[in-house]
Amino acid sequence: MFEDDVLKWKFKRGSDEALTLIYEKYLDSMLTLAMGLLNDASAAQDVVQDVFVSFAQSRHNFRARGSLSGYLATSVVNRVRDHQRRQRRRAGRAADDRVRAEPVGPEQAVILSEQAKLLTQAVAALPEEQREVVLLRLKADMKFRDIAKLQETSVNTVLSRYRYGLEKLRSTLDGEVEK
Amino acid sequence: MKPVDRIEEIIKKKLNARADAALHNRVLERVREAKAQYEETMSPCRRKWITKNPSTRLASAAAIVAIAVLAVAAALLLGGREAPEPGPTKARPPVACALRLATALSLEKAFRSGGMQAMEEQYRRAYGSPRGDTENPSVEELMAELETETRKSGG
Repeated sequence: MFEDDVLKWKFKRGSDEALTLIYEKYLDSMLTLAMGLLNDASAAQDVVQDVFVSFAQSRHNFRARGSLSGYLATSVVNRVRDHQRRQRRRAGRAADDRVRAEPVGPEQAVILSEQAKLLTQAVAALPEEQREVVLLRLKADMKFRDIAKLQETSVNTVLSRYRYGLEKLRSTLDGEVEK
Repeated sequence: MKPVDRIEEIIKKKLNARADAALHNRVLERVREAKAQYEETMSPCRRKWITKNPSTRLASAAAIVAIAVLAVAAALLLGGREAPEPGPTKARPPVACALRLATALSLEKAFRSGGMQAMEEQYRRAYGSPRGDTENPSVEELMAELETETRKSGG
């Protein structure tokens, strides 16, 4: 946490080194989040690239009071939402679902273990709000209060979404994933 | 395969994606380029940022108004002090002023003590005397004459 504060401070002052360190520290976790939300390696790459590019261009306006991880995760969620809106406009809801259900191709630059692929698909099958809550809580370590703010709803609703999401994952993955 | 009972831990530990080296380097290069481009366009003119941000726009407008008000106030203050008096009025020398005042006083005193006649007499002494130097009598002379006249008239 302290390390992140130093990185944020240095980044605000225009340090290239701080930007590189932030990128290297959070690239994989943001990619995991984007993959979990989209289940589309190509779209996840684009989203993560957009997030870091826009982060690199935001040092004058950058004001992350909370965690850096939470800030970047929120940016990922917003980009994913934009991407999904564009997809829906382009092809309609049904086509969007088909894209999400497609397995990740081996040619992708995003590396996933077999277990991770299974988990990604199980998470992708959750309703959008539950998927966001589960991933933001477990992969970005965000507080329920912050997730509630992002989803513009109450903390209780977020907690319910989290509980239902986990229940569904438990039943989907029952017996399929090694502990 | 074991039954899943600790799903939170599994998601935390096992759901991980990783960028390969090519993706890592490609995105990093793009990010660095973006930052360099940003720094290049931002540094020379922060005005753009000022005009984009509503709070800074308001602050700069307020600063401009304050500076303008101060400038006008300073100009008025300094201008008032330095402005020349209207008309070519020359300051009279203090001695001339004192003489005129003394003459006026002596005339008034003469009128009070001896009426119109005494005042005329005093006037003649002050202005219409045959002596050349009475054209510009000194204060002492006038006062002395006035005293003598007063004593004569018994006032």
